[in-house]
Amino acid sequence: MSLRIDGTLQRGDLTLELDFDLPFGITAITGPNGAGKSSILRLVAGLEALDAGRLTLDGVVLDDRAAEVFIPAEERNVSIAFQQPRLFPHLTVLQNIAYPLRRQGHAPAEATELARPFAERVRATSLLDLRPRRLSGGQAQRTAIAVAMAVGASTILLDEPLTSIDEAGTADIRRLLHQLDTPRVVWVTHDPADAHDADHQIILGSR
Amino acid sequence: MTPPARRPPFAVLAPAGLGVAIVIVPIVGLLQRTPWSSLLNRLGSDTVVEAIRVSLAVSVVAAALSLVLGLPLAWLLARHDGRLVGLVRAAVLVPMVLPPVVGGTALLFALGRRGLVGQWLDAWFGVTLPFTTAGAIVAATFVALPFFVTTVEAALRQAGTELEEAAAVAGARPVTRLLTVTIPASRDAIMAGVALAWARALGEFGATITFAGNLAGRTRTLPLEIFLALESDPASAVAVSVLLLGVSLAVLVALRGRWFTR
Repeated sequence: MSLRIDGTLQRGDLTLELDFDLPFGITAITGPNGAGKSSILRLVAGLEALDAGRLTLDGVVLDDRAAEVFIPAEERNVSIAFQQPRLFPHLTVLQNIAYPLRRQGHAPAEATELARPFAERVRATSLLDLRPRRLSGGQAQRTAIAVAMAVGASTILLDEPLTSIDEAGTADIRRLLHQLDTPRVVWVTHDPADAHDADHQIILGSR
Repeated sequence: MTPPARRPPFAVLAPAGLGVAIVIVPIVGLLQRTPWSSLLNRLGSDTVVEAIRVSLAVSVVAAALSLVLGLPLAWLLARHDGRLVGLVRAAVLVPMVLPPVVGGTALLFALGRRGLVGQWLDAWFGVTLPFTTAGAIVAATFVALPFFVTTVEAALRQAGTELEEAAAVAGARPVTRLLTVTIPASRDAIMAGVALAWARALGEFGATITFAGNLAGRTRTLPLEIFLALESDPASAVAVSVLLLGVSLAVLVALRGRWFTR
């Protein structure tokens, strides 16, 4: 069971040659700005496609241009927390967390009930009825992590989840990320300490 | 610190002032001739009430059609690029710059009984559009649709694909993303688009009179009523004009949050 990328991704002038596995546990991806760290997450999530080669997740081909295979984001067993939290502005915190549960076929009332434990996990129970614009950076990111957890995917991608948060809030979220019970966590970070604490490390070169 | 404010130069003030005057003076002229004491009586006369009824029906249905047809169109234009998309965008905008009477003439030759499409509408469905309320609605939609599409396309473009991506990762399919995220998150722009389309449809004259004629109770909208009344009953024409002026100002006030503050 593995997440394997073997291929190339063209990003303007930059050609990323990718050949690695993302095993279970926490994998930290580090590297200089513009090295394509976020692009790798977008690739795995299905928001970008390989230009050549193939991406497989637990034996299923997700992306293979030569074979004309591309599984869209909504059908992948993957979720993501973006660098800037992307919460739906017209929904409350609880409704945001319930959103992926609704998409899994739960009725509205059921989905909000199922969403509560995720809100508790990220200690957002006092925020449930607020709209995202009322949240601080840390509160928004905690909510976004709860949304990512509620997707229920076996892989969670974190794109520098601590950069939009002031220093005081980071310890909290860092602890939370280390306690995720998702089998595979891929964490893009520029913090050497975070990379060191991860189970595996991938360092992207700049060329 | 910024230097103390100076009076703008005369070469700027003079044309700017004339520009304001060209907008304000006609409105003052209209208000000064308004028969205020008999205003309600005139607006309550049978012919005016009938025109109000036609105008409301035509403009509300045209605004609704602009929403239903324009929203998918605006989304397609905002999310896709390429030559075909550019051509479609240009085509949709044509009614904004086209003289309405040309639009009406074009509609007549396309949808008239012997027109390109009209002959089949007549032969297959027995539908005739010219000189009917439905025809007036088509004419109003023709001129109103671009106002909705440009407003909403700009908003969707500015909002970007970030939320749609987040929805996709959360498991939402394309149509679900549109219905549960894109549309609710752009609600303000969509409402503004509907208001603009409605206001444009309400004021429509040239395309309507050319394509749908001037039939009392069927295609005679308020602007047509004004045009007719100018000959026989100028005071009524002024009264109806003031009514439409009031509606226009109300739309502007409703939209002020969008345009006056940004």
